[in-house]
Amino acid sequence: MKKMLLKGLLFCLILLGAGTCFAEIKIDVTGAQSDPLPFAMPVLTDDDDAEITDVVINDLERSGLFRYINPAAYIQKMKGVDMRPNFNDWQAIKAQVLVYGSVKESMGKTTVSFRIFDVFAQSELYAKSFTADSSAWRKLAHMVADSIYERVTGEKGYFDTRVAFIDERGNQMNRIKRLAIMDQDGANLTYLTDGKDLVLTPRFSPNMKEVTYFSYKDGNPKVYLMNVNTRESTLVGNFKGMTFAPRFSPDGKKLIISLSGRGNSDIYTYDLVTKKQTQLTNHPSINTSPSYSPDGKQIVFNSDRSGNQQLYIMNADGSGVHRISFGEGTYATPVWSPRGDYIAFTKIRHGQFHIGVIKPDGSGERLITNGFLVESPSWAPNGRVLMFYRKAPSRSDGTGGDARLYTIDITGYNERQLITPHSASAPAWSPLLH
Amino acid sequence: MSGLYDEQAFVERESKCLGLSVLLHLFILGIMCFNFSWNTSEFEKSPPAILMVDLTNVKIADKTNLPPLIKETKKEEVKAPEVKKEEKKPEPPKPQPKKEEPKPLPPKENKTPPVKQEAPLPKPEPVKPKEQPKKEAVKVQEKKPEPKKEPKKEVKKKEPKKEVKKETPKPQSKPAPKVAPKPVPKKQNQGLQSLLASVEKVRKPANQAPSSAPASSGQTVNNGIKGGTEGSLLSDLTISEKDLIASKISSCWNVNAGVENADKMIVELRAFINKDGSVREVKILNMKSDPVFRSMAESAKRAIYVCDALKEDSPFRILANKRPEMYSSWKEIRLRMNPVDGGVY
Repeated sequence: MKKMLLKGLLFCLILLGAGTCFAEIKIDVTGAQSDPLPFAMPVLTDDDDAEITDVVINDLERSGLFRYINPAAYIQKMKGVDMRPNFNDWQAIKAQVLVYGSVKESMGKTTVSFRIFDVFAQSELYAKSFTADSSAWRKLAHMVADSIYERVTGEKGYFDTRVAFIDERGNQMNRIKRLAIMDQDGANLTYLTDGKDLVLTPRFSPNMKEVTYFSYKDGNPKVYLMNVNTRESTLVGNFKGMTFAPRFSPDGKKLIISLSGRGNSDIYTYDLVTKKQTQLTNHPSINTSPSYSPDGKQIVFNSDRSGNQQLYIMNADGSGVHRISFGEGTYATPVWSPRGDYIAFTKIRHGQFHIGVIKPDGSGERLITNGFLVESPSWAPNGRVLMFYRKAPSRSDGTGGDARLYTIDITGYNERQLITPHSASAPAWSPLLH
Repeated sequence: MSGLYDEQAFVERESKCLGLSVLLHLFILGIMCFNFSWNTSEFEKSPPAILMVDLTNVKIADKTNLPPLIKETKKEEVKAPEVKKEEKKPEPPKPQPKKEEPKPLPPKENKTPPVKQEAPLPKPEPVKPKEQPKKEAVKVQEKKPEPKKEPKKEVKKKEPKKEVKKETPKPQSKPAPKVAPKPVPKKQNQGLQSLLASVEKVRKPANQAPSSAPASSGQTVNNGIKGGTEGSLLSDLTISEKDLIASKISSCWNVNAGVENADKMIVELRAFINKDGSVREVKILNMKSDPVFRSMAESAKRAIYVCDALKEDSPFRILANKRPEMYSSWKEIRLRMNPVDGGVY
């Protein structure tokens, strides 16, 4: 019996072996192109009013990941949201993604309906309809752009967002700095302060209702908190010394700030509910520019405790401080990415400023742009794009010139200026609004 | 008595054991038959069956050329009557006067035009014999690609009568004169001659085939070497061919740069290719709920279609042009795609 079983097993093994011999053709493909994705988008409205369409196209093109195909090339004329596309016509103009739909207005409401198609796979990717007050048509357009971006790239969009920044006017001797906010594409600019007091480093709260910033109000350099709707501002805490570099914790319940005194600066938290102050660092060196990780468990900051300014990470309670940057030059203004994979920073080396990113474990440092003065990086809510300001001197002695806001992809490509009416600096990107 | 009883019991036990062993063997064979269907995953269901045919044929052809040739000639012989039947229809119209056949045919067409659409096509053949059979052949090729192509190509190039005549009389006529004169002068060594004759009989089909190949059956010889039906000794593409396809697909693949952990993303696809190299379907084998991966997988799938839209520059069309004999191997291609160069290992 045993022999029989053994023979049976042997036979089984032979058959199995024979079965596995029949391998199919397998091909490994490594590498791909990273060109902007060509997309077609006929005007959504029935009339020639293409404002909403233009905002959507502008959003997608500025991301650097999409390339709009001129409508003059379109073969099929799309009308309405329920028309079936002729894929051959769209393949002929090499559109990989097709977006079409309609805009309808009634009773002060605007409804945008649209469909997204993969032209070559000939499949519908997405179909949605948004309705809002007609006055919020730009928001509707940004939401459509976010939907397209998210469905095609798989990453969260960032078009329905706002940016807080410092608007600067006047000459160097009499500079007026005002706190301002606008849409991420530069529209709907609003000023929150009147310019009497110098303001710096605005930061949005996670719920977008408040902004914290540093101001020389009444000659007392401190951190303030402003309600965006009422424009009322309050002093943060009762710290002895100058407070600066504020940021919200991810849950919005705390502020983390730097307190300067006795020739050094340390990092504190301020509980917005209990008003409790907690000291996190206690070191004779400078410890500043704190920024929470997205989960709120860690804090990145810069310190010169090693002799020159470098990046450090500590736990949220101040324990476990360890250095993560070891490169040449000095590191400043670290900001943890909303998706957690990178920390953006400013680096000064060989008389040049650089914006770079580094992984939280200290690896993968990359400098993505540089200039005479590039400063204050701020992440888009999807962690793909950075905004910063760049200033080039107008005179040979390094003075003069305007500061301007720029966005850049974390790959280092697609650096684009954000148009502002005046000189602008210290941008802070808001979370996604919808 | 007790000894006989023991013997009978022993015999009975032995017979029972034999029966059990037979049953067990059958049982194990049964398990083997179903075993593969259990283990096959979603994307491994179809290809093994297809590739099994190729590999078995390759093995036979590797050892000797004779079996496949013999099998093919048999196949041709079997197919021959079918060809004759088809060819008999076009043949008569040539010698026969044109007035006789076309006249009865048109009324038939008029009677049943919608029901038999194919019927009118063979009928005009006699009127224009050279052009119309080609049209038929093209149409039939699209419907039934593999088996019917070869005989129809022969029909296109050469008239069926000649092929049938060349194939059938050669083996009959040639051995006859060669064998006949030899035994006449040498009657003594009949055993040796009979042995030589038998050897010649075996050799001649193999030797005659290449000599007669250009005239009559060049295709059958090639197929014989390749293993009988189709496919070649190599069941896989060469590395350079794979590299060509990979680089082409890579150039068609447009990925959003800066995707988090892109180097760890491997999209597995199965591309179903038609015989002309066009892409019939692409399936994503390892789709995940992660939206970033989903977009990556969709872009990989799109890349295959984008490549397909290149028409003659499509890697699959190039494959169809250069390696048509390996269609059974590349009609389904499994692709492992990683957007970062050197990411797949």
